[in-house]
Amino acid sequence: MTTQKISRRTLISQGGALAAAGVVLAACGSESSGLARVGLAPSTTALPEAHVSDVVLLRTAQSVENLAVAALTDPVMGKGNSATKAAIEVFVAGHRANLTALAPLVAERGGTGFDKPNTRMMKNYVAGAVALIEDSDQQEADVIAFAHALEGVVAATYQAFVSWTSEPALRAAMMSLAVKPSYYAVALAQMVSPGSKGISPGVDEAGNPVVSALPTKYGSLASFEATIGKVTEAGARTVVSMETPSLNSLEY
Amino acid sequence: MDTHAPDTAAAEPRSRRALFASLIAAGTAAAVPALAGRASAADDAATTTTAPPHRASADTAIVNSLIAREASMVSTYVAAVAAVSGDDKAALLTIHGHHVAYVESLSAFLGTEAATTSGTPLALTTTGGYSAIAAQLAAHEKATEQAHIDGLSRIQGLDAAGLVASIITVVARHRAALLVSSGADASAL
Repeated sequence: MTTQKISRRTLISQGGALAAAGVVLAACGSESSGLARVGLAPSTTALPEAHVSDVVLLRTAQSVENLAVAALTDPVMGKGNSATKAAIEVFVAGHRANLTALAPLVAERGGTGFDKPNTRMMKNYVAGAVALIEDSDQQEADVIAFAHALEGVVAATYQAFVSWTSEPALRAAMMSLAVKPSYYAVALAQMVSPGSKGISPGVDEAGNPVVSALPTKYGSLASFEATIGKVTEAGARTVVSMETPSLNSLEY
Repeated sequence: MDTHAPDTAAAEPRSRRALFASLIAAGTAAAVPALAGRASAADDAATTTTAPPHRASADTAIVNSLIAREASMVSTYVAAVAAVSGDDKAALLTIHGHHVAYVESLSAFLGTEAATTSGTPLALTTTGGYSAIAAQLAAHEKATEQAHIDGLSRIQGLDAAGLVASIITVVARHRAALLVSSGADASAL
């Protein structure tokens, strides 16, 4: 039997070469963690890749305008007085005009129009609000409060989309469509707090904020709230809080 | 039993310098796949759509023109506020304050590139009471709203676009508030 003595120099040399080879192999390896799996672990299906394009934003704008039309034409929104009903007819016509303006913007970019209300907003906001107003003992006031918040969120949707839109001309086109809902929100605020007294933000005798035509200096992208529905035993009413569409409520 | 004790100096003529050189060579070889991976990732990024810039120097002139328009609105409201009283004065002071804020925020956005302007007042007849004055101011608000929308159509930078968009929705509200508070109904909007 022959034994080989390995000198320190040989050991370092060969060890270094081995380490370098290991580094090469590790770099060539995949990103897999290689962790052992214990128990049942069903394979997952990756979500389809969704790209927020200008067409997606336009389709979502259509869905929000359709949402406004659907909500404002719901039979429960006819519970207001004659002035409110007349105003709501104007608002519905305005939203339909915005839909007419949006259609060619989608088509010019090769998109397919979206002719239904925003799925998620309909389910999360409008359906619940309609049920609350139906059940309310202050329906006239609730119709105004809900429509006020709704018009606010429609205008804010266009404003929010500006920072996502790639084409400058399209940003301007969208903001020209935000103008009408902004007008309508003011008209509704004036139904609650009429005249020049209702323009500036303020508080009532109890210190609660009153509805005003100009609640902020800059367009808000925060929640738009409507306090509606039947008064509970605790003396509270439901606050419906609506927000502009996000990644989970865009119409891809 | 034979034992073989090689003369390492003779059999392995590799010096410490040679050892370091081989290790460096091996390290370089190890780095190649990683660098190649990064290169291919950069190629992928190059194929995506270029994102709009946050700021663009070409926007300066547009934003300066909007500052001039807002400064004119401020001067116009100064004259209007002096002609009314009570709740009417408070309402016009609120809108005046908004336009002051827009001059300041747009100027702050441009920094040293912001043009200084005193703001030439727009045409306004201050007789006839609040309704008459509000109707004239509403027309000026409409023109201001349009000036911002026109500016937005040419603004490249996302930061300026976002700021101008947040002004447009409230300028639109100004117009509606002036009209409705002085007696117009929704069909006039």
